[in-house]
Amino acid sequence: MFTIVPRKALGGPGHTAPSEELTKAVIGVGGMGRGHLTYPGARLVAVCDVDRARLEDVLERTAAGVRGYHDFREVLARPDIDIVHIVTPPHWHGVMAAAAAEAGKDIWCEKPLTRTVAEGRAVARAVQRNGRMFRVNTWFRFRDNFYSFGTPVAPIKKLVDSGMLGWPLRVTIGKSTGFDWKFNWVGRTDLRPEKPPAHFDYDFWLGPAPYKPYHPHRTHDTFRGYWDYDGGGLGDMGQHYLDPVQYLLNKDDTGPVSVEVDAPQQHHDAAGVWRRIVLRYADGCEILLDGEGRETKAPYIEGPEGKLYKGFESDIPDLERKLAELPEPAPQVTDFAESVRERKRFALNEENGHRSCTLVNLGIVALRLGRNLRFDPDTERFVDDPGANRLLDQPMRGSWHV
Amino acid sequence: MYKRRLGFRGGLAAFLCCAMASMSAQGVDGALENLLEGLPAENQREFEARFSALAALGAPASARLAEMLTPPGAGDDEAARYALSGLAKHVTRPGAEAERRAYALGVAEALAAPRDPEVARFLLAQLELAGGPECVAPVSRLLADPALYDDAARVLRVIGGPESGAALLAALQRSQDARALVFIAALRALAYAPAAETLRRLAASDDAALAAEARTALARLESLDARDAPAGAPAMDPRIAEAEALLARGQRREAEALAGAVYAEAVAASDAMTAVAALPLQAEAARRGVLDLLMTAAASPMPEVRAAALGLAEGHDSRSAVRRWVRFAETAPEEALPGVLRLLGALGHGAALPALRAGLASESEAVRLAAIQGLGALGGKEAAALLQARRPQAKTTAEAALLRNTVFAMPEAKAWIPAPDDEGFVPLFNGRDLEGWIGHTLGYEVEDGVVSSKRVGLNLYSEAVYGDFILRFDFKLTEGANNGIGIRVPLYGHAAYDGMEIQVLDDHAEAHANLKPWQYHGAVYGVAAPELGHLKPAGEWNTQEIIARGPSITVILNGHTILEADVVEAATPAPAHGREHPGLTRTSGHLALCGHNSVVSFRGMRIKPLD
Repeated sequence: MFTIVPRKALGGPGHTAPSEELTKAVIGVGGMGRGHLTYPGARLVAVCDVDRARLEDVLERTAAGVRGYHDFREVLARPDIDIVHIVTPPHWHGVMAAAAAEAGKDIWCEKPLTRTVAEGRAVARAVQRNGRMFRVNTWFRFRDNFYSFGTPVAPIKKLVDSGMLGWPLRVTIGKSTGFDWKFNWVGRTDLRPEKPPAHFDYDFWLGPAPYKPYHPHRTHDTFRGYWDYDGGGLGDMGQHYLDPVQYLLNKDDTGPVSVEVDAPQQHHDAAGVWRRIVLRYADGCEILLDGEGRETKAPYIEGPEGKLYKGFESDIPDLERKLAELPEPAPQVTDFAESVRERKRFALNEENGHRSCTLVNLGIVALRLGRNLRFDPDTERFVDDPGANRLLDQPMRGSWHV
Repeated sequence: MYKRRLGFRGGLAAFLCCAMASMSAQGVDGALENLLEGLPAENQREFEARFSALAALGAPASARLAEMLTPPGAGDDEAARYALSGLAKHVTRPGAEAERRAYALGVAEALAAPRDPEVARFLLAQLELAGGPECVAPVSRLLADPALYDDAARVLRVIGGPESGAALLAALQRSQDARALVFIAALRALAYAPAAETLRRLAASDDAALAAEARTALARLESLDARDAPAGAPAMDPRIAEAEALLARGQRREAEALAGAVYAEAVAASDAMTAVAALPLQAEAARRGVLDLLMTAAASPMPEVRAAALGLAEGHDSRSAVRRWVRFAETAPEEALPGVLRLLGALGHGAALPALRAGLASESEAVRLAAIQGLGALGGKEAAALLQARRPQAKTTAEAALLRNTVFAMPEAKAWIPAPDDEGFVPLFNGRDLEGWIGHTLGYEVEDGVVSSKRVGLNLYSEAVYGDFILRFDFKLTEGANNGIGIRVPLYGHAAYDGMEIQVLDDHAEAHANLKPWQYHGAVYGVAAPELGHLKPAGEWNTQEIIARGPSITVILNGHTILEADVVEAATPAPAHGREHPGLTRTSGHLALCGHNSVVSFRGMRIKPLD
């Protein structure tokens, strides 16, 4: 837990003078946002939320010097803020991240990085054009035990890179391999318009999203159920589960060439459940998202020469010893404060983060349209399907833009 | 929600045959009913089968579906929304351009009638996915609608093309504050070069936000960055920028000559994009003869040029201009006429009436619809009278719906509420259709003054709300029939418990031999039992009167008073059916015909409010 310690309490070499301390602002202080307040590496100086009740509640629990804001643009205009944390629902990520990059801020953005593929590419361009440091708030490719494996991703990466599994590879992500697709995030189709509470600026909360009458289920704790703001369980967990896969398969600079879906017809507004989504790459690698939990015997990752199951079980004999003899994967920058100070690209940045978020968004577009699609990862557009391309890049309300 | 899982394979094949068999209005309704019942589709294969059938029904199906939409919370239109959004997805698949166009035109036509804004936004969202150049003109009209301009601008953005740019530019030139910001953002996204002159003017505005947006947009237009330009957009004729510059410097004669030359060349070459860019410049620069110029352009075979000319013409609204357009309308080519009639409505002079009146009787449906819109925009007693008089002569459902909605939106329409008869009763049905009623309209049919529930019929609600009243009607049962008159009901609740249901039942049917007393014909269902024995057999007409005065309900059947109850007393300490019955204490609500899957006919239903 990072606490703000006055300078005079620190002594000797190794202390950080406040003028060298990094400062941060957190935009969006709901459930996730309150977690961001205490992420280490920078001192909190500002919080921003369009729900005045949440904002005031958080201000009561932070240090005296933290200022509260309603409009994120005022936060971006402060020259003394180094890093902005974007912890709003996904429909705002693109607008805020691009604006933050143009304003010269470094950015720590929640997942999924953006709600559409086009916004993700625009954010990556804005960050690169302005020389900013950027990270997405998922971390399994470089830290922590990876779900049901009991190990981090690093040994899995070693296994893949060693060639012991063969090529191409198929990855199965579902209940049987230790991943929960969170189908509780479904939207309601029976919302009757209500008046927003006086302390909540609903119009600003909507921002670039189309105007629809207020209902509490659209916002705050349940926005994930609506296509306008997010993408159900796929949007919630997709980047956590899929970013490590792109890393494992060495696909950080490319993407799938096709997406297939098996699901009921989706509602135009409310995200629903789905049974199966398959993403395929040009070289034959495949990722199967098993929503139904049908693939009860599947390994997590398998190739022509070997399989790896959850719990790090494998059909390759003596696996641990063999892996111990192999070199570790390439080192990554895993401390964002270091990334910001030294201007070194973070392990999960605007480019590979956009690429892995694209997998989530391909799934969402295919689900919403109810058909299988082909994708060109170089032009980042669907092939021969203008309708699908309309969902890749959607116009924003008002004059919001990325 | 409609979701009956009958044997899928056989059922699907059977109703696909039904769906494809007939394109008559009856056939469309019947086919729609079947196709809606299975929505949402369970998987891709079912989706493709169902929506192929739906798409084959063409624009009439989209129009019917749009009629079924209700504002959120006001009804159960979930099936219609699944159908319309599913169609939008289905028709945008590769290789389905003809279907896409038909669907988009159907939706655009539905947008022509005034609607609840949320319903209109839903329709516009479908055009955001499925709309194409054919939608530009109808959607552009909504740029003037304070609730819908943003959604309309987004549709034009995704459609793109010079017509969209021209429409957005015209809208920008007519607007200020928040709307202008939206139009500027759209023009920037389209990189619509002809907007540069207007943007330059706005960049010098006193309004800081407006000026900033205009500058950002200009920067994009002027950057000529090939990387950012929309794919496939051809470069604008550089003489356009030249003419703009001449105009900006006050050299009107030179600007007019140059713009005129570019326009004439573009027209000769059928280059709509350049013609649309040149026309406003020529019109602005010309000192004389602007109207001649616009009228010639309004007769162009290119729809983009016609639309641009008519948009510009809205700025010339003198009485003499209106009279000239009226004369123009007499000899204009048919494809130009709808736009001209709408323009006449927008110009707002009574002198337009002759042309609009003539348009109402045109052979062409597009012209008739435009005349209706024009009269609606014009307003006033005469326009309202013309529209109201036209309603019985409407030739198509779309026309009837547009007439109804347009008239009801006019203040003068209050005069057209049917006058009570000598006894003070007002008819509830017009004898031709379900006007004035909402809900499961597909489940009821009207023929020669008789309204009947079909076997699939569920609840039909009066649009109007009543408190205390006398209701009179005749009814005829089929064997075993079960229906009900809901009184003081909220929309879409459970009529019997959220309001009250006066039972309509074939008492004589064997299946009804051993019911509870409060279940027979004439009962306040669940609460108060009627006297039996006065109901005629199935197939014969009965006469009934229901008097509702506060908690006092009286039912008179074929001259006999079969029920006289105080429902609040009757339900003390608890109603006979043993459930919560909040409807007993409601003081007002809708009437409902509560279909319970049987055929019952009604005629002469009329009401005398007692409040």
